[in-house]
Amino acid sequence: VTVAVIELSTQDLLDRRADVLNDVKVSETELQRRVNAEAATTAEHVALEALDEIRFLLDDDQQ
Amino acid sequence: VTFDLKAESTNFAQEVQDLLGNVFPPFAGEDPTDRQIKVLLHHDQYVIRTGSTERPGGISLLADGKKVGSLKASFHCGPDRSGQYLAVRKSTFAVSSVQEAVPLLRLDFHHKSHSVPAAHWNIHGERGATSVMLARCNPKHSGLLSQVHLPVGGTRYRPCLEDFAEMLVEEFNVDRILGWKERVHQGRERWRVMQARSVARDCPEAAAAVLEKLGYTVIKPATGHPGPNTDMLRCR
Repeated sequence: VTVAVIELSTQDLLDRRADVLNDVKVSETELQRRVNAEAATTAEHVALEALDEIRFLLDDDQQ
Repeated sequence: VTFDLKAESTNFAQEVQDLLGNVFPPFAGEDPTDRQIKVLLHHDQYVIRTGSTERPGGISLLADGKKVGSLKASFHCGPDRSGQYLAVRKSTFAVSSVQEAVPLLRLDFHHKSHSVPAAHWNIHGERGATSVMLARCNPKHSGLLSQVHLPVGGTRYRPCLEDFAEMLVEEFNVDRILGWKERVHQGRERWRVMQARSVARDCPEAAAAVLEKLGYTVIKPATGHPGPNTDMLRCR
């Protein structure tokens, strides 16, 4: 199997972020709190991971 | 030679793909793209991971052909400070059961970590005695074992994906592909040679002394041995 390479524009990433937040309907801070407290659903876990990678790709990972 | 970050990233992603593809068998009827490693890129930032194009996810782990869990692997990469090498900024390997969303085990690495060890295990296995002790000693702590960061040797000596994969095969006894062990051993050797080079760069004087003891003639630079990278040698 050959890997898939996907080039994303800044707008693609901003759209993805909006979609992720829209799907889970909570803020990123609340998502983080729920994951830390082990109270998050599968979808919320995945959403937080998706937001983390979007932040990294946009190069505004300030952690 | 011009450093081609995209080619380096894609080659690295293909190594991950080949490792997982040669260790863990596919679930019958599974869409092959579900097992395809995705390389997401934006300018000089790369995310290499399992999952769909849109969302992070895992590849299936099987027992007697039935799905019992999933393995997630992700690497956040970019050029290193010299601009000559691909550097992993962050990585996560996690195993989850089909029973629930919370991972069972996670091996995280974050090169910028200061408050917690750069490379650490998180064990999602809560136990009353652990929570009581944490609450007693550290009221600021959540009391969850999963929020304890178990150090595993810092940036240089951290385990590789091959270690994680072998743990799943040997300890969890998940289905594996014939010949998996040789592939794991080859990958681990490649990883450790790469890390040995980095360690030699961290402490060149010690590396030179070892080579001299082995019979090599080592000539130090006219300016003397470069100083050790104490940040890297001391980081947890």
